[in-house]
Amino acid sequence: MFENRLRILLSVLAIACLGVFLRLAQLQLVRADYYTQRANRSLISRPKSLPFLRGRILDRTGEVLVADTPTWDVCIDYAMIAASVDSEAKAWSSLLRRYRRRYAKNSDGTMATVEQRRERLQEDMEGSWRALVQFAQRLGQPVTLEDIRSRGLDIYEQVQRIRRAVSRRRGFDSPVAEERIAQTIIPDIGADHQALWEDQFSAWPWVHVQASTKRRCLGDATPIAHVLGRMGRVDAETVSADPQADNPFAKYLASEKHGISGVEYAAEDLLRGRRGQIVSSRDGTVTEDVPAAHGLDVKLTIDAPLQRQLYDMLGEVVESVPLSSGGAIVVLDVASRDVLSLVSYPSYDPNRFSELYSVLRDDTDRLPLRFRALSSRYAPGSTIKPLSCLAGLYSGKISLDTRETCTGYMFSEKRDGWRCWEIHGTGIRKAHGSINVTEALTGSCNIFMYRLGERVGVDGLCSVFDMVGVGRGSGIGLREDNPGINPTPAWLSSHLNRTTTKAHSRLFAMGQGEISLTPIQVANLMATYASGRYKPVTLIRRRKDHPEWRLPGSDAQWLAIRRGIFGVTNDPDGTAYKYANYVRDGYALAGKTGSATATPWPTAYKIPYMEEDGSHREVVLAEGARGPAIKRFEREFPDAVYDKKDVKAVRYWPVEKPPEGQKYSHAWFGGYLQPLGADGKPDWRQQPPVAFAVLIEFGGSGGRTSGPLAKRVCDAILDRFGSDIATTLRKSSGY
Amino acid sequence: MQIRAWKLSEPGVLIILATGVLLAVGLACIYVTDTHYVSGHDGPANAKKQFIFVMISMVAASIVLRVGYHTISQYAYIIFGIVLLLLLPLAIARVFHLSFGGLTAPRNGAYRWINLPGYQLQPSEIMKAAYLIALAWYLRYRSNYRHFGGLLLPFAISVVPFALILIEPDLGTVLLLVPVLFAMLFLAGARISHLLLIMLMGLAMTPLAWGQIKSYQRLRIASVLLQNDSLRQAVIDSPQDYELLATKRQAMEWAASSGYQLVHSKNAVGSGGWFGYGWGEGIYVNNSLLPDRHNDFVFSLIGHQWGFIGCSVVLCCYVVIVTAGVRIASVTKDPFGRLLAVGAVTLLAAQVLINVGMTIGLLPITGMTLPFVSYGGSSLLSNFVVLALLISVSQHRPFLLAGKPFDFRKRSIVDRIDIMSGR
Repeated sequence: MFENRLRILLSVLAIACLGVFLRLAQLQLVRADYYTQRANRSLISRPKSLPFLRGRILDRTGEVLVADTPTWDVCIDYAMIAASVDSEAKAWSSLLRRYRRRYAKNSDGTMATVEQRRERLQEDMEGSWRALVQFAQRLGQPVTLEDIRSRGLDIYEQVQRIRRAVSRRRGFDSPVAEERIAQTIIPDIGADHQALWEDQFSAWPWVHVQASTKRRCLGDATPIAHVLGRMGRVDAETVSADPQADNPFAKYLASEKHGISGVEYAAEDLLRGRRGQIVSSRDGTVTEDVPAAHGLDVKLTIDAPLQRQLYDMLGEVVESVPLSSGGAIVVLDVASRDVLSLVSYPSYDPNRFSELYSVLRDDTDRLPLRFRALSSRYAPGSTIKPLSCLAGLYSGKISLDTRETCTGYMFSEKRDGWRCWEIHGTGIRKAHGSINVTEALTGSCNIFMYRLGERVGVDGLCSVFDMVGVGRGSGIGLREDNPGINPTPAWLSSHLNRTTTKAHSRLFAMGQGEISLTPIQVANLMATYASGRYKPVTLIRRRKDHPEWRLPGSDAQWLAIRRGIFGVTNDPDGTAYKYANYVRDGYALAGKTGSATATPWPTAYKIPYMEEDGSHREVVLAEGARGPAIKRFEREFPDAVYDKKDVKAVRYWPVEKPPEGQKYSHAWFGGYLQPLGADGKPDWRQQPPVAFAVLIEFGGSGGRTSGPLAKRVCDAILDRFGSDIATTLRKSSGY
Repeated sequence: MQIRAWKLSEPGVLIILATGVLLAVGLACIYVTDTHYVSGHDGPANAKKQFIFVMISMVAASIVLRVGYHTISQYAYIIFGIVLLLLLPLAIARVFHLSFGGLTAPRNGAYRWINLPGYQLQPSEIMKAAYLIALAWYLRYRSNYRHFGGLLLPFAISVVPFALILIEPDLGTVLLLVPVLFAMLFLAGARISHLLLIMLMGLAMTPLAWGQIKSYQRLRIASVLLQNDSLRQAVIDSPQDYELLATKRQAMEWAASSGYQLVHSKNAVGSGGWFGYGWGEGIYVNNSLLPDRHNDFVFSLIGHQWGFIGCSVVLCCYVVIVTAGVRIASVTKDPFGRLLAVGAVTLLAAQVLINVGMTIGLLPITGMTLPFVSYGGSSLLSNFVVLALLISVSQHRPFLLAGKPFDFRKRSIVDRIDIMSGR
């Protein structure tokens, strides 16, 4: 019986053994190829991404305005950051495993328990934080322990967010790449200190000094900050709308930065490069090597020295105005419509943007973040009058011989209503008498324009406005570009629910009312006056050139208009003769002043709300507009209950209502440099080389504030480009 | 009873030769993983250590052989008691999370080791040998396990070490001792119906146990099933139908988490093909992709380096040991020696089958070493002692006069008359 049972036991073992053999045969003989393939594939390590350098931004002369410059960052292993933030983090166990040897023994030589190892790791970690701060401070970096801790917390939360997003996509929770790498805790320590840092922190294996790049504006960048724009982290919308989402080398990564404003945004497709990749097996042989494609350099039409000089000038003038808030200057090359200068004041230092951000945001009186030259629109005032005249002339509603009589008012029974302009500060109302188109422009006669407007009608006016891009933007290609408002009857009824009246046509003909243009549109208007042709402006080279088209009107009609504009600054009867008469190097300044009715803007909003406990509170937020105020409130008080109807503006700049008997106005000056013949008279056959627009917010009447500045602008242009401006510009426009 | 101490029996020689081959294979595997794993540090530290363990184990084995299994068996209960005492502090440490001043520091949450200077003792490994002797000693002259009630007693005695080892936890060792218990009872003559009943009872308790064991243990068992692509897909597609097996997440993460070891182990074995990559060659030798490849997963490395042929040779060595052991059991007339030999053979065979089974994806992964091949001192020592006991049994001449023990066959009348008449 024992023998039998022994046999049974043996048979059971033999069957099991047979099973093992069969399985082995299946794995090693039948499916050997499959498993060999799998084994080889398991060797391939994670591809290493190679970063690209973002393209530089250059001005028209080739001066580098923005570039990625090499620097070094102090980075900490993510596991360490997670452990310091969260004492329950899973990172603890992996850290204890990784540094098992380091903390294996206590100081007295005995084996350390887990608790002891954890304690010592914690001490070491705290020690390294303190050492980082001390060392940074010694090298002159203003870093505090709180900075480092809050930075660590930010990183931790950001990575957890990414992990949650990735888990949602994958359908299960698993570690993301960001958790395996060292994260920047002190950025940009500078190229000189790298060795010092490395030496100092060699004892802490979790501290790394890593090469990186920093986008930096070179030279005096404040005057050009708005044009260049800013970089920001990609948000969820950008990632989901990424056209390159299927290209692993080009798609946006969660931690990446991209251009969010200015040229950085507009030229993102050019500036952005493509990542490279190195795939190597574990033994180090490289199996795939795709080099990174660096971004393209982008050349702007801006002339940086001129831009800087104009910014300083504008700053001086804006600061001298009693209710100063800001201003803008735009200079265009008439022939090519290249933007030579695009100045907004006030501006900020783009290299210090992040540290200044809260100050800049809360300065709602002066709005330094607003790109006035492009994104603020104002009534064009008298600068639009030549265009109104053109509308009348080419449509045949008036002729060159048409004369109107200006008595200083439109209707004798209502003299204060529709009147001609006042000589500033005198209370004397100007009466121009019997005038033709040219004289009306020179004297900037309102009465002539009212009558003209009535004849042409809103439709006629708006069709000419549309020809110069009003309501359609400047064509510059930046996201800040405001299209302006072309108040067509359709627009008036859809936006304001108003029917068009004669009053509208009167107002629009003289550039008041709903019609709104940005400074760059006014500058282009001047270039259009100077050449008789309209073309959208160009800021970024490499972009397809815009088509150009002639405006209607005969040469004689255009000449009459140009004579009128020339007279404004060169005829003693001209409205700006006193302030803006300017002749130099064979050029005379021809231009038009303008005063745009200014409405104060709100600078703070009061929001009453109810707390969770039912108590009523209110908060005042400094914001320039209602929408941003509500958005910020909802971000900062997520649980509060409030009614959008209760959100009210409580502060205005300068004040809500101007004092009795006064009104606020923005001061315009738009003009161009009219070439003179040898006799000192204007040479109408020559095309003016540059046109420009100057705007001073709350500058009062146009001529007095912006006229002298316009003269200085002309000086700066002539200083910069010499007397043969057109040739200089043609030379530097090539690349 | 004459002891022919230094002249080995025939099966003894076969066993020793087979063991020699296995030891060499093991050292070769440990050596190659060593040099690639910690090169530049202290050289082949693990291979050196293993070699020293082999030497120590051999000394221990020769002592056992010299002393003889009969002498040792006198102390069976005492040895059993001592090892139980060694297991006790580990169980206490686990329950109360104590470390006794670093003496019982846990590794991956398991309290299996007692930290001695330069050596980590694993009492559960020693328990294998001690359990074997004690059980054989208990069963040797009895026949009460022929009744169901008497059968329960050996189970009751086994519960104590099983429980202590389970607390550590070291499920693998218990899973190994259960077949030993069954095999010894079976060979000692317990009724098959009784044993089947107990097995059925165990099976009936399985659903209960399934709910009781830790989720990671459940996942380990589920992992074997999840190897199947279509089953894995089914879990992902309709997790509610497979709630008891695994969650959708576990199925999706399978290859990266619980199935990682299995995936790589199978890759290593499968890619070996007929003849393998050769010694010290191959992806899984040169890269540390497969954790524990020098101890629990050494068989994957054998398959990887020497292919199907190599695996067959290694398995044949075990077949030689087992058949030789069975032969010893069959020849021996001493009841204690018989049971000891059967237990030893079952112990070794079970270890091999479980270990190889888990590396090729037939069984759940448990912490089980491959005898004489895997790295590890306690296991080596324990297996050497078991082997020495087996050989020692073969060294003893059979009782010429005694009838064969454990022969409870109903004897024919003729037989009885023969016995009674002294013929």
